[in-house]
Amino acid sequence: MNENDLIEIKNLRVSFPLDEGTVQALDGIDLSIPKGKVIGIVGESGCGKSITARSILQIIPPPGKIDQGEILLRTKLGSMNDDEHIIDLAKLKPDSDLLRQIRWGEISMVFQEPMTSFSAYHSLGDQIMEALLMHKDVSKEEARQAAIEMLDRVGIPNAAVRLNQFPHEFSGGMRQRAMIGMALICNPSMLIADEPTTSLDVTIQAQMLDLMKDLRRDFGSSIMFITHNLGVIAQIADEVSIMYLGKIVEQGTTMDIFHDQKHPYTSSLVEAIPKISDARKKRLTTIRGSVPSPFERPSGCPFHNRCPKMMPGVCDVKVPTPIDFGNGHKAACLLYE
Amino acid sequence: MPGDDQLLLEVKNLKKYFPIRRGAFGTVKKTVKAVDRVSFFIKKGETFGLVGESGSGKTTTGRLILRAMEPTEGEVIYHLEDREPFDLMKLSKKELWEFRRYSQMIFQDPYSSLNPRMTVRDIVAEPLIATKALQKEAVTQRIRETAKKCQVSIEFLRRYPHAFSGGQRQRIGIARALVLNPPFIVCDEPVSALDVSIQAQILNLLNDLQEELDLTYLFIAHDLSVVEHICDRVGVMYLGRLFEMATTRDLFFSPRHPYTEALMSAIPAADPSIIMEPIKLTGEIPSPINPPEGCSFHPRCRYAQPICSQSIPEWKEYSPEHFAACHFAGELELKGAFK
Ligand SMILES: Nc1ncnc2c1ncn2[C@@H]1O[C@H](COP(=O)(O)OP(=O)(O)O)[C@@H](O)[C@H]1O
Ligand SMILES: Nc1ncnc2c1ncn2[C@@H]1O[C@H](COP(=O)(O)OP(=O)(O)O)[C@@H](O)[C@H]1O
Ligand code: SF4
Ligand SMILES: [Mg+2]
Ligand SMILES: [Mg+2]
Repeated sequence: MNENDLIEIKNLRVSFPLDEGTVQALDGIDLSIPKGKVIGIVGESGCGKSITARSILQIIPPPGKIDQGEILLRTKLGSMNDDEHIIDLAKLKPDSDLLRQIRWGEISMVFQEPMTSFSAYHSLGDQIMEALLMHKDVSKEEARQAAIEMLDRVGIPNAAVRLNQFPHEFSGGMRQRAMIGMALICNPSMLIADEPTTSLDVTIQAQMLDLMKDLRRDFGSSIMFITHNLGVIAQIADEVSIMYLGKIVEQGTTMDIFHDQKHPYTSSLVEAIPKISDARKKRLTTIRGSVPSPFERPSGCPFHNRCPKMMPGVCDVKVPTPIDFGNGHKAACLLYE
Repeated sequence: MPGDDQLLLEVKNLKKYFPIRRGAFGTVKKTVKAVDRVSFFIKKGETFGLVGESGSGKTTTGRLILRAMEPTEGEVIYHLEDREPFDLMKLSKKELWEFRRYSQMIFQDPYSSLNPRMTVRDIVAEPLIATKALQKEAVTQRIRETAKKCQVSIEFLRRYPHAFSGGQRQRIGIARALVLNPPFIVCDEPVSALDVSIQAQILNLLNDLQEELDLTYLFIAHDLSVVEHICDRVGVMYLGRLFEMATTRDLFFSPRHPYTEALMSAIPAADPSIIMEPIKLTGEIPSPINPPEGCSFHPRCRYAQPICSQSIPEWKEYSPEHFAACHFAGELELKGAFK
């Protein structure tokens, strides 16, 4: 594991055994999350973004399970002498004490719908303080002060008063901020944000992106940012992984992904977004068909039946392996083999 | 203002106030001004966009101008090819029924707007059957033609919609809207729930259909890049009010309203070499039950002066076809979207 990496995922495979057959949700994911960086995860719905995130915390919905692979985390938690060590999260029991400590204390997660993070029956302040009291050795009064400071920090006006209000008394944007506040209250090394701005209006979305950039700067946290919005990714991420049918098909710096794509899927995605100042009503580049059903995984390259550069007899037969283009830029496409 | 011959419809002073019932006897205490004194026009053959934060009144406006919902007040004058101009709000029930063949709607979530127990054919045929627009023999022919135009394959007609992907379901929704050959379609967030690759397919389809069939669209969306791509002119709503209306180019690159400027600055550029500087709007979006006095944007506006909290700015045309409701729309030098 590289010195600068907080997390390294190696050959992660996750499946859902269902009555209709087995869904291979993740088909061998390799992904590093460096300290203090924002890693963007992009792809169409169903490609495995959320399951990747949920695997890290072992909160995969049943009957999903990790079949293979490692999720290495560099942490002080669970270490005898308070030094950093490396543990494999995939080997921990989902309900183990260590994993529970890691869940808020080291890695926290925010979701698209903030109501899934909050209980409707307790004041927002109580819930945020609870998270802190459970993981840190602080008094109730200290927890209260910390919660007020955090709400203030994430831009909630009049924090001392709002602390006593219930989640439904907040607007969508404010709830989203409060959720981020709660996620950060224990000063985690990593924040996982799963489509956190998808349901927000552009002005609020822009504020959230600003907030995340500040947090990375001020706390040095790593952020795993999941979205299908390429505009958002271009503005927030340092590095990007593009997923398709449970695989990472390309990864690189944000510049590489937007200006020097190697994988035809990445190029197609970038070309399919309408860009401001395009000639109006010009035809957009499309990707033919749609993502195949998880029960009908194509042979060879998973993208071959939609790919504009598909080579018959090659792409439908051979499974591509990632090719290294230098500087961490990789793509799994047979054009380069 | 364009001449009457160019217009499809004119909306004048449209209002929709929803009563909020509270208390044991369900007495009306307050109202939500979902749409308040809105005036605009849509030209024949164009795509007119409506943008604004959620809850700003876009869907309500779309429904009102089809009279899918009764307004509190206001006129919607239609100029249809084969008829004298008329106010939709004055039509009788029976006349309104006949009007259905001139306009239809497409929705965001094609799944929830499709009945899972109906086959694709029944779904597409429903408006035809309901309005008795065609003889029985002609129905099948029309359905096949419409399906083909909308890229719904003929084999799908016998199947049920739940088996289809989001893109296919949206095509079915479009076919249903087009089966009566209406000249005007209200598209309410038709691509908001779709992945980019499918969004591109649907936007191309809507453009092709518009060219082929001479359609006019009202296009409601919150993704400003999509709106910039597909719309000829755009209106911006905030708390039930129309704040600005202009050609897409003017609105995006020479806005006159401070709220439009803030929206434009917040569009995330799909290019990491463009550094965004979004204008921070302070405070929360006010409640539509209790909108601020004067200009409803004043508590969040960085250009606000004392007059802004005292009087409601007039809806005025500042340059040809460029309308705005801001006390300083004639003076401010505002920044547009990045190019
Ligand atoms: N609860 C579940 N039951 C069965 N399959 C699931 C479940 N959650 C996810 N999957 C499968 O895992 C794959 C990846 O899902 P997910 O990670 O949620 O995608 P994304 O977040 O990229 O939209 C999908 O193909 C889906 O079929
Ligand atoms: N049937 C209704 N009863 C009461 N309030 C409504 C109703 N429909 C919409 N509203 C309110 O009217 C306002 C405008 O809503 P809507 O037109 O749906 O906005 P948008 O489409 O821009 O999100 C919102 O405050 C909404 O809560
Ligand atoms: S009227 Fe005043 S408050 Fe409203 S947008 Fe213009 S300057 Fe701002
Ligand atoms: Mg997801
Ligand atoms: Mg709406």
